[in-house]
Amino acid sequence: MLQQFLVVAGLSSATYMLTALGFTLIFGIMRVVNFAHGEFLLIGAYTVFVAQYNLGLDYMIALPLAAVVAGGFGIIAERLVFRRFTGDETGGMIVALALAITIKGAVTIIWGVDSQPIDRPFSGSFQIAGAFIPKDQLFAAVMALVLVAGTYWLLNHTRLGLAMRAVAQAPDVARLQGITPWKTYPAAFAIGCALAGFAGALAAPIYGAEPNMGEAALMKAFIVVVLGGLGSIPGALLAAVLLATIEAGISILFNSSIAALASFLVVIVVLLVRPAGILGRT
Amino acid sequence: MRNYAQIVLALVICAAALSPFLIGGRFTYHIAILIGINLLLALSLHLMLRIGQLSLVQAGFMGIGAYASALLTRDVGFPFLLGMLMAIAIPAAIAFVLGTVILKVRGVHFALLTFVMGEAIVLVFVEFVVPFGGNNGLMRIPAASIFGLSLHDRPSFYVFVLVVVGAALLVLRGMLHGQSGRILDGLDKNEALVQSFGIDALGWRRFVFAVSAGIAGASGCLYAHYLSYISPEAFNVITSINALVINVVGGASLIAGPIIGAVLLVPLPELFRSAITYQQFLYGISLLLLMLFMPQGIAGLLRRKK
Amino acid sequence: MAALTCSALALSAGVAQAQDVLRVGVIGPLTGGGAAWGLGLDGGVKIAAQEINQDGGLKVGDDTYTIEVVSYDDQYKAAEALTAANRLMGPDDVRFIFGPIGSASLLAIKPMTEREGVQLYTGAWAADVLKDSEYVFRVGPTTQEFAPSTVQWVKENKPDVQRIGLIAANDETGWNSQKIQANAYSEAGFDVVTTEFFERTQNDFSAILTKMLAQDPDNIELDTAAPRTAGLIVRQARDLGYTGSFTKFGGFDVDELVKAAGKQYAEGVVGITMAAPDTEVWNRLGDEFAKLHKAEMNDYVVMFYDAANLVFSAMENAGSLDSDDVVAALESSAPFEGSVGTMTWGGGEAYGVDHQIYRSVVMVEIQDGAGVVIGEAKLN
Repeated sequence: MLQQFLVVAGLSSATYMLTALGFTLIFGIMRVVNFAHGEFLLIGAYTVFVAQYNLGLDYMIALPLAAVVAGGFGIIAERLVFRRFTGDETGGMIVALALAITIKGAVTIIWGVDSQPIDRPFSGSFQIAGAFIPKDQLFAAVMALVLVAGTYWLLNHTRLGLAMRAVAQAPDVARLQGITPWKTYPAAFAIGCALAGFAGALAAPIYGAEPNMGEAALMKAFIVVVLGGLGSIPGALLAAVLLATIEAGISILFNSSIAALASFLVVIVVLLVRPAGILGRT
Repeated sequence: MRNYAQIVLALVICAAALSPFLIGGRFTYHIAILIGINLLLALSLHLMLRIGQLSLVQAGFMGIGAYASALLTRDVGFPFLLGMLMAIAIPAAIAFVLGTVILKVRGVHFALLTFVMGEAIVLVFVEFVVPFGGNNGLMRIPAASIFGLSLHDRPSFYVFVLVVVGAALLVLRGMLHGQSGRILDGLDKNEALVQSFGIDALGWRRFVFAVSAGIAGASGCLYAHYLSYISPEAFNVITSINALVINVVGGASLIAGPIIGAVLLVPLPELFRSAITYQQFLYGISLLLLMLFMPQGIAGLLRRKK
Repeated sequence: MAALTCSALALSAGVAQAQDVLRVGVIGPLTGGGAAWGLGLDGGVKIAAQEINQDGGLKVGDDTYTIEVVSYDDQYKAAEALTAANRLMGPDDVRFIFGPIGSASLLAIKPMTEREGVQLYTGAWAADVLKDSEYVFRVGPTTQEFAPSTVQWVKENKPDVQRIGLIAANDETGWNSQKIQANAYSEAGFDVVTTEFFERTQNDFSAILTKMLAQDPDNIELDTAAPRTAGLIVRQARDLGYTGSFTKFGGFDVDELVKAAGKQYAEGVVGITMAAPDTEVWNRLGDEFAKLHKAEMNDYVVMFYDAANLVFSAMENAGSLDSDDVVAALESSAPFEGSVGTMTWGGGEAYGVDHQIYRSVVMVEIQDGAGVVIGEAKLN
């Protein structure tokens, strides 16, 4: 059971990381708490569905396509909606909520309320040292880690990444350096949403695509990011591991609602000691 | 000019509050009661917004009030008014105690901390089946009655809701005007200045937080005894966020804001209810448009025109 | 203000249209979780109403009515159900309501509907639904009715099964149903080795299943898990190395389960349903249902189609729309020929009132992604 616990905790850590990454990136750079983050996962998942069933594409092609579509929606949303609310955290939160309701409503109108099946690229599981590792979840976890590493590289080793970090730390100084926040914001938003699209597309074969999948994902991303520190990527990664481990452990020992309660209590205690989260800046 | 606009606004609000008596019909009263209950929660959040702290645990306090009053009247046999008193006092006391620690947290971090606390309160209701009934909630909550006078029928319950809302508005007015109004404003804009006058800033914040929790508790009490049924999910963070939406759409800088917001937004889903497939989408779109074209809220619009 | 004026308009419109139109209500989850059931409920009632309208309307005494179905979404929430009920009983002037499906929704509106003699034809599972009520009818059987028979089936057909694992949703429906299942399995001589609850919003069951599988069950009873949830549990359990069997005695939807689990994983899952899939009736109602909603056909369509026909024929028999007359006619209209078999009333022993429907329930096994009827469960 210990081995299985490690597998469960490890797989969910990776998924939580990817789900939280786009969320914390957008906050870090734009100061927008994107309550519609879950709906960008939804867009990713439904893109895979459409790609498979209407266009007959393979999952491996649908996966990057989902990120592109979600990123594209992200750019549009940034231009039409979020740009006006940069810096207004409360307004941004509400407008994101309105966007989330709208997207979910639109998906329900187009595809109905049922969950849509997604063809799975992998099934079955590996058996290692007495533990079972489901192949589909392993694929999602590995992809998630690759994407996390890729994003890290992008932020630290490219001009765009440098510009984004500069805007995140001090928009005014960045402007003096010739970096225009207005040009950096769409890029940041697109990347954050594309990561959400990836997360949705990776979750889709495992759980199916359905209109309410965004809510649970948002809640997970939210808790991870709050615990790790809003806007802090290393914080989100650390918090993802911490929460996944607490949840898996307590779920196995007791039950899932005690696990949820315990993880919330951990977050509250951490926030009381460090309001900005484990690795956040105050 | 300013007085004139205020009088007109007050008259419109009074007319709206009395209109259910003219229109009549159970559904009208039902919606009017829901507006009142949601308005109370929105007012409790409004008070916190005025000291610059967005608190998303207000629905949790509403839940504490609802469960306290429901359990005390149903299982312990408290009369309704005593139950209501406890529904106000218990969340207020909890807020007062918690406030010492959590009110030191500011800005978006306070919103996030209270968000998580709100969810944790709901999980407590879910997890502790005794006494809270778990996901199944609490049933057969006795109807409200005052000194043997039953408030079971909708018109009389609505009158009672109006009285409670009126009382809450008076409390808010008292706190937001005059000497204390200036202190509260200072807490929002320049706390150091307030402290330099020798005022205990944290003490004031704690007081405001306790009052706001008490108002939220009253809202929960009315909700419980009106529906005669409560369950945890009614008090989750979504409910707090809805109260925030009411404030922002109405205009968060004026006390009239949440009133306008509640009167407008609470019945809004009803307009779309006949278009089932489209209702969620239409609600989302209307909210989006309101936010994009009236970022200052409707009350903000009134103020700008003056 | 605008909204209040609107509802006033709706009110006057309601009065103007009331002649010759009989309005019946639907309250159910039409969006969000549980929407598959809610839409099935809505579709079943609407199909029945359409058929009667096409045949010239509903003849009650000397009057002929066109039936109009007014549906509201309760999102599986009690407060929304109460708003819907207020609207139906107020401006819409409805006295007969199909639904709700959520136990919380039903229990929230029941005091009001009982007080005013408004009838509810519900699918909610909690034991309290029928207790102390005159005007509530449950139109689908629950674990209470079928558990002895389904457990007996396991005993006879799966001789290798001894250790039972139970998993159900963490709410009144799940608690109540799991308790009944656990009793039934124990009484039949099985060992109930693990009992777990999950949250209805949960998608990932690997932790719960790790805990369950450590007890080495031979059969996992999926009880009242929503079909999609059940499919996810099946698939995740198989991926965690579970080799035993699955039974799903409590709400079965082959398509949804197969979709969520995948064809090869769903193979061999046995469940009960109120109508066998791919029969003539199923396909006829399925075609009509597809015109109404963008959702998969499920047995709630059949269940509420039959319920609506039963109610409408009771109204014709009563010759009046008075609530007590219709109740009397409903009670005496059994046995009633439904679309897939005879229906009768019962439940007096368990609930104190004979308002529980008894109808044939078929055992279905998933073979190669499709439901195959393998027997019939007798109701207790």
